Amino acid sequence: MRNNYGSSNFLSDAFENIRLNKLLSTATVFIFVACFIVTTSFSMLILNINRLVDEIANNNEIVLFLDDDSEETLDNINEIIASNSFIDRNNCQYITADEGLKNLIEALGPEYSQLYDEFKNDNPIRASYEIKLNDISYTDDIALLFRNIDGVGEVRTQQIRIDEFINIKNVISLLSLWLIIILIIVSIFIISNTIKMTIYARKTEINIMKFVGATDAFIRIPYIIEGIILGLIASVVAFFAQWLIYETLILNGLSKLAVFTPYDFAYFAPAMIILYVIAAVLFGVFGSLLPMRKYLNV
Amino acid sequence: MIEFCNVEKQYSTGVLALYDINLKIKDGEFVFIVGASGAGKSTLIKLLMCEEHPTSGKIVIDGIDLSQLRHKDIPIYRRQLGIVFQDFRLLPNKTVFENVAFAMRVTGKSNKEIRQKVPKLLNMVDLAHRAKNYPNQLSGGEMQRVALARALANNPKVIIADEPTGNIDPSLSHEIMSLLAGISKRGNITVIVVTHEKELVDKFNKRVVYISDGTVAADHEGGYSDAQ
Repeated sequence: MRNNYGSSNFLSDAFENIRLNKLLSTATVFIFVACFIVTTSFSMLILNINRLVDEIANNNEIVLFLDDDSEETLDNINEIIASNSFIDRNNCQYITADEGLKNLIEALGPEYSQLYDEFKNDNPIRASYEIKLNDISYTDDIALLFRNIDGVGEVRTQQIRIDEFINIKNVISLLSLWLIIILIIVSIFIISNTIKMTIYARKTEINIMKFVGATDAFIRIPYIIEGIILGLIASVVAFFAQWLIYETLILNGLSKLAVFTPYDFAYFAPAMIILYVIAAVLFGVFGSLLPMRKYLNV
Repeated sequence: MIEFCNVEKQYSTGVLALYDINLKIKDGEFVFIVGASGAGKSTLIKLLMCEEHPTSGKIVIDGIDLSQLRHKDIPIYRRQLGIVFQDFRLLPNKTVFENVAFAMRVTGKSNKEIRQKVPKLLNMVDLAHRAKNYPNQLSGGEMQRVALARALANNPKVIIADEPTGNIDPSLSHEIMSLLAGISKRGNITVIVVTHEKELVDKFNKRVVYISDGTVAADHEGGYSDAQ
């Protein structure tokens, strides 16, 4: 621009505009914040639910209870472990009947320690073998291999049908992805309408600028800067509000779901900061440019 | 020099607003454009401001053919015009000083130039004492004088005033028109005034272009009634 109008002037103009249009600026920030928080809270909830589902689904253990813990039975079991690539052979563990008894008594608490002496010669606990799998989708097939070995009394897999569980997880992931996309679209719609309203409120100003010979770029720059400033203010507010909401509401709710470790807020923070800043800048630029075209075209 | 050659304007709605317009306005000339509502006066002004473009014919101002202007050149062209509207179009949240300064800021004038020039302009329209007031603290006549100071801010070659006295007290209309006539005479600025006010036109005894049904029905020196 053939112009002495420096960037500091544009910046101070933008701040001045925000001050003069306090009400609308505040409303815009609140709408930004609301959209950010709804979308982020939902995404956080979904990510945690996915994690919970993963934790349950990845409980990839088969336990074999041995009626006969002879060398032969163990050899047969070890042979399968060594040759099957779906089994995580480094994490399989043989637990003798004696160890099993000790583990049980230990779990009951110190006051029951005398039970060991009582039962060690007449142990009701069978020897067991914990088999870890690399891929839970083959659980049933592998369980069958072990069931066919003489001396293996019982093969215990998870109570839930694993294939159904994988399906549920896929459905949840897909649904949540769509819901997040819909929320983002709704947010874009609401925010761009808010910006449209702020620009409509200032159409006289834009009109006057046009008639005193302001170039389109000169008119747009303060609005773009203003949009970015409002977006960034909203990002900061939304970030801290989200933190509070996550720590108090979401974590509280999730912690009621039995044995499950939800993500820390810190897990989301870096991605949130990056996405919020990108969203603020994009809304600032495009949110201001698109609705303004109508008024510039005179 | 402003020249209209066989200008015709038909809106996309099919309304033929102007046709067969041939006009020459010399530098420094003062011209009243009169006519009934809907006669085409506003369209004529819009064509001059490049807000609308002729369907055929051409408009040449100081050698610039307006139809050849690219969209990005229009703002630069408009800086040669000073425009005064019936509804003043002042920014309500800026002071009188800032309203005038605004026109200069928009065209990239330095703060130093602005500080020097705005007081002079306000003096000229006798509003130096109102510099710190806001538009809602002024009378209609005062607001129009601020608009006039703003129109002069960028040293225009042409001032276009669209019903400049339409919204102000009749007793003050004469004052505004005298200011415009004075500006034209002293600054060798072309002034084009669109108005309804017969008495005023008669009093000033300037060139009158009478537009009727979309074309120039009469064009000569003298009063409103002569033109009709």
